[in-house]
Amino acid sequence: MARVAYLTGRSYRGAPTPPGDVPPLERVSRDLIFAAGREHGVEFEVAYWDDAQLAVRGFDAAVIRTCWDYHERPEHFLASLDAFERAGLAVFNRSEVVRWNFRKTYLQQLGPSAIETVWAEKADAHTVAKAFDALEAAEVVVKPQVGAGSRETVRLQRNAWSESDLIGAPRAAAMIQPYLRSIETEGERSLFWFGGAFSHAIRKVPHAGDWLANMPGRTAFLAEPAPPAAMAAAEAARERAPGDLLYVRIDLVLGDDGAWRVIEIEAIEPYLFLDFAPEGAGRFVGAIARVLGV
Amino acid sequence: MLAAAGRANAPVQQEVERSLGRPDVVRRDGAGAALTYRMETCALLLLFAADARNEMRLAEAHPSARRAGEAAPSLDQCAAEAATRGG
Repeated sequence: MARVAYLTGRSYRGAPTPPGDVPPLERVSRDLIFAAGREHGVEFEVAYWDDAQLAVRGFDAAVIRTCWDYHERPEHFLASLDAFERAGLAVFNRSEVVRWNFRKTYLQQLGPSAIETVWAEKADAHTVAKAFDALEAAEVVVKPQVGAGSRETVRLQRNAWSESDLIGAPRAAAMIQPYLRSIETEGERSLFWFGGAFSHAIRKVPHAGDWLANMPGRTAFLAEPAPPAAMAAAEAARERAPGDLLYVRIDLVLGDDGAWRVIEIEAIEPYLFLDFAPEGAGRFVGAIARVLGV
Repeated sequence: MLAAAGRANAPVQQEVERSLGRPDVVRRDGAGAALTYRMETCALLLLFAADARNEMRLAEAHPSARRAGEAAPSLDQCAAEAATRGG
């Protein structure tokens, strides 16, 4: 039986996470993964990611799961992963992958399947105006290069925006992308691979009138097979990503030209949507078991 | 209503927003959401998780004091203050 630390944060959105617990929305996934672990010979134990003693507590590996407070202390988070690895504790995904995935500039490496993006050190009016032309877009979305969860994200319409609209835009380095209208109808697809093998796909469909397809309460999450073209676009991007991803989620949206575009690769602490695709738990744990040789 | 957090009959996000009004802060992660209501003497953090029917159901409710050093009010006290701002 291998012992694996299931890394989580000490708090979630300001509420303390008691030892051994995870944020409430992750409890179903945790229970599914722990149950699958018992079938695969992997014993999971929830542990805080900033536990300085983790590497000497007898774990065979650590898997990054619900470390959702790391954005508050990113340098500490990366230093912790480095320290675990230096002490001989394998971390999934490894720290080098986490660094690669930390800044969304990785999209530049993904080739034509990635969404077209203008990169900017600052989202000022001049830069945004130029981006409209460069992207030949009627609408654009301005997002931070580092961040998650639609924070500091604004949507602007050509000839119908002003500098004041940028108040909610990123204060640090930004990325500007065309607004893909299909997100309102087709939604967004999330595809998951564990240990290099495809596991499951989720479709996030916003309710009518909403445009952010990751907005719980205003989005329906459906376990639905991915269209073959979406799968092909995700595979093309995966070929250009680091080759040893134990787990990865690739998010895609249908472009106005009918081609699928990768809008994000999440290889740090992806939400796995196992509540909607419980069969993924066994595949996730199976990938860990194979790497650990159990 | 908030005392049912974590149970099968816990209110869903729309019911809470109808009762307490628009939250001051909404944050999202995966298939979950965190809503914060700020009142005069307390703040209320409500954590929701999607159930199998895509309903965002209240999983936890955390009251806290607005001012450093003050004791956190009970959930009942904080919920009563939140209810006065209404929807």
